[in-house]
Amino acid sequence: MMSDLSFGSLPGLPLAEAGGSFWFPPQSSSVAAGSDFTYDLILWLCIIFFVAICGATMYFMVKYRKRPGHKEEITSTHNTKLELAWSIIPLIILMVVFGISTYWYLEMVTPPNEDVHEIEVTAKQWNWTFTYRDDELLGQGKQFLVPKHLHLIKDRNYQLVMTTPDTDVLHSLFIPAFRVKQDCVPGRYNKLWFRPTKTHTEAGADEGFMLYCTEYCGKDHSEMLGRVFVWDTEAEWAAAVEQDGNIENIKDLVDRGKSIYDQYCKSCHSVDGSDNVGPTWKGLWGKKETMESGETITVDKGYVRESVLEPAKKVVKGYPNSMTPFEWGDQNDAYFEGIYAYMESLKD
Amino acid sequence: MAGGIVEKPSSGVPVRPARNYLNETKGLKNWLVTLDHKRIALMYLAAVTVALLLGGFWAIVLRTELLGPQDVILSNDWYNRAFTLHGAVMVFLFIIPGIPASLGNFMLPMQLGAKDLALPRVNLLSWYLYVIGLVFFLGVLFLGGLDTGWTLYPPLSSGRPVELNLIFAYTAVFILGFSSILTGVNFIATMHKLRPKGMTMYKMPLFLWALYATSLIQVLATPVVGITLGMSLIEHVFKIGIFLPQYGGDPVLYQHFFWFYSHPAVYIMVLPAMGVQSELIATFSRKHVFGYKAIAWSSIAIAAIGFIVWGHHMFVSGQSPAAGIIFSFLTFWVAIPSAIKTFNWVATLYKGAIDFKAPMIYALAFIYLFGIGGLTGLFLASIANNVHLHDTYFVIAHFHMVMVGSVLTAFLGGIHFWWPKMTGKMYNETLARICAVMVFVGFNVTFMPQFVAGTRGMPRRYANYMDEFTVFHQVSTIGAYILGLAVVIQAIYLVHSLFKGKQAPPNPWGSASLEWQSSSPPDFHNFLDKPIVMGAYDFENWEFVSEDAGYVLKKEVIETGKSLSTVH
Repeated sequence: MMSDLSFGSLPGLPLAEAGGSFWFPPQSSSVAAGSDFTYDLILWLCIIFFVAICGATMYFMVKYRKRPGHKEEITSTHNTKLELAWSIIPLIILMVVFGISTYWYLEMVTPPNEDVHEIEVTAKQWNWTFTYRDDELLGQGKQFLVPKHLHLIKDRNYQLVMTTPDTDVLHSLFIPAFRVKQDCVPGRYNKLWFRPTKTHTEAGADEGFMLYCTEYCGKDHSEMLGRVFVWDTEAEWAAAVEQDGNIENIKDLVDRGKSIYDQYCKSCHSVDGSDNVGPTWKGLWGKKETMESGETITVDKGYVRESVLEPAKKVVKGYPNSMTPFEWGDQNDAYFEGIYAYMESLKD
Repeated sequence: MAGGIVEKPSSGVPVRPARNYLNETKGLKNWLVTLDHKRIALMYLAAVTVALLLGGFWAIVLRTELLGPQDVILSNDWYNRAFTLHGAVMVFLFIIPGIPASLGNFMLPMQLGAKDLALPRVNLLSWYLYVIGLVFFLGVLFLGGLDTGWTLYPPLSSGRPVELNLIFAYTAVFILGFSSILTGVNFIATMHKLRPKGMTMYKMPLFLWALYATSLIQVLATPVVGITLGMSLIEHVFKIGIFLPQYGGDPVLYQHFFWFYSHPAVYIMVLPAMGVQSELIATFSRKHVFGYKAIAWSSIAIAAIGFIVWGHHMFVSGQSPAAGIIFSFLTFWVAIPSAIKTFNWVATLYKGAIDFKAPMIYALAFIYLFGIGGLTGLFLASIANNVHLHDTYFVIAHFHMVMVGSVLTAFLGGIHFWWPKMTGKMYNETLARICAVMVFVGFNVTFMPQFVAGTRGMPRRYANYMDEFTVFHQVSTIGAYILGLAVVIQAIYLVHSLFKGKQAPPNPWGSASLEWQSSSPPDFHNFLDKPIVMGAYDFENWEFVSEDAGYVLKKEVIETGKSLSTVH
């Protein structure tokens, strides 16, 4: 029903269309058509008013231009009827637009009562992590944490439950093809509902739909990108989530560690010896560090594991106690193997 | 001699008055302690011009960086600093004080027929506060810039380890706030207390109504941002939980406080511009402005409604849908007084004699640019579209159409319009017209492509971007260069005119508001004799003499001391 919404297209007038247009990427979610419909409606109104205002201005500019033999005339300085008309008529039009816009907005923010699949979203400087759980498709009690890639199944209702660690900053998740956006606020769980209606390949986005961060979040704000993949079948989806989310798929432990580092650790720890929020990893493995408490500790598997799971317990002297704890559920061991191997590879 | 004109030229070359406010006293010290609103206005003009050039410099730098999708001249860090400094300097140091503190300061007493503002010492204090704020911003620059965005949202700003440049930025905005409040108080007091006999509120030029509405906002809204940034400063240094979630604060609360000021601040910027616009349109079409009362009261309406729409900056922040819908509803209402003004300006042109002098080219460009800026606001007021367009280049294009397309255009138009009065010199009209057209063209080339980039999903504040947006950015950058070049040429010919310009007549444009009854430049006391109080748009009282001598008051007006106009 919704995808039938259209103003039709006049030759030369670029309007939003379901299949993508001069203005927008292809409509690929349940809420896109309503948003585009409202856009077209307002676009038409703007064109009419703009042409009227500028047309009249240009006509007067030519007709009443100062020239020899032409003199201004004194005309009435106000006309209550005319002025009321050009105040009240636009107001009525705008209230109608407001009504239509609000109708579609309510569609946008009101999730269906049942059959809504939740995906947790964690935004961090400067990365997205999507947490998938699905007892039927992924296995009982299993969860997969996937960086950057949002995997969805076509025509399924989704609700993203989004947050940011308290120590992080504001972010905002934006998927242009879906016409949806919602801020990720530390200390809050903001929700975003939609239903994908096209697979990424159907919409011509073979590398996935773009997903952007649209709330300025510091240095690498413009690198905080993701991709959205919409799959036709449950099997394709489960395979893709497993492929992206099962860290054991990266067999080489150093590579695995590097990929974990890029996703979770890079914004605060350097690997080239340069200073950052936390200690550099270069030469850290096996090094003796002095803690805030004064005790000395050797950086080994035990200390690294503890510092990831409970970072506040032992903080290296001279650094702030500001790290977020990380936890990967039943994949913890596989993650730590990678981290140990990567840190060891950075020994002096 | 009645009419207050010192040297009334009946024909031929106008004579510069031997004594005027510029040569009344000499020496830097006399300028720095002056209480004369005209001198303070010029000092403001100099200071905001410095800010405009500084903010413009960063605009050119960041547009250059955006010539390509990856790093062109700046790292991500420096790009972020460039757009932060561009935004902060332009907003706090140029657009907010720009028109009111320079042109308003000069013209408010003169258009009323008064000797000065009600509180001359407060006026000087407000200039000094502005300069201190400017110095703090320069301090931020010397300390290596700031990368928080001009909105200074926590936790990104106050949540970071203590940084001197951030402390400087908070302090600067705090101090500038006081400068703004003092100007507002002064303007309101002046308009209530110093109107001479016969100068009723409805006789005031619409520029003054606009300044009145602006002043109301300055006085009522600015304290909120001052307090908010004061709290942020304390929070930043002592790490207490007001806005920082890790200490139990709420970052969205900051956004409410910030936009409670900063949305009305948009009207602090644009209302004076609309005031200038009304003067230019009427003068250069030689028509009484159409719908005077509607324009006057629509300024007040914009100021009033402007206070209750701030939540539209937070449609996707997680505020409740009910709040979002109410803010959307209220936002649509702002369109009406803005539309009323626009219709009235167009109607004023009807049956006029439109003279395409440089200020008028700006005024006509204003109708077009404000038309686009205002109408594209409807997409953003519509909450179903706002979700998609929020924080994209569509928003950038929209607010630049209003804040630059309208405010900068009106500022430049106003500068050209009042330049002969303020300096007593005429600038090069041909160059001025060329530059006016360049500003218009450059502006459109810069921002029109950004609307399309925005609807297609280009997020704002991105140092690097996807390849598909390259062409929009490149066209936009070319536009920015044209715009930048025009501003530089203007600065050159305006300064040149101070030394080599022709002597300006008292009233080169035939404008009817009272300042044109004074000499160019005005006497230290503004008027040597009492000006003849008349309606601000009673153009029939003035007759054209010659290009050099401009317009003079008709004999019967001088003899009777009354306006010939019958249209009140």
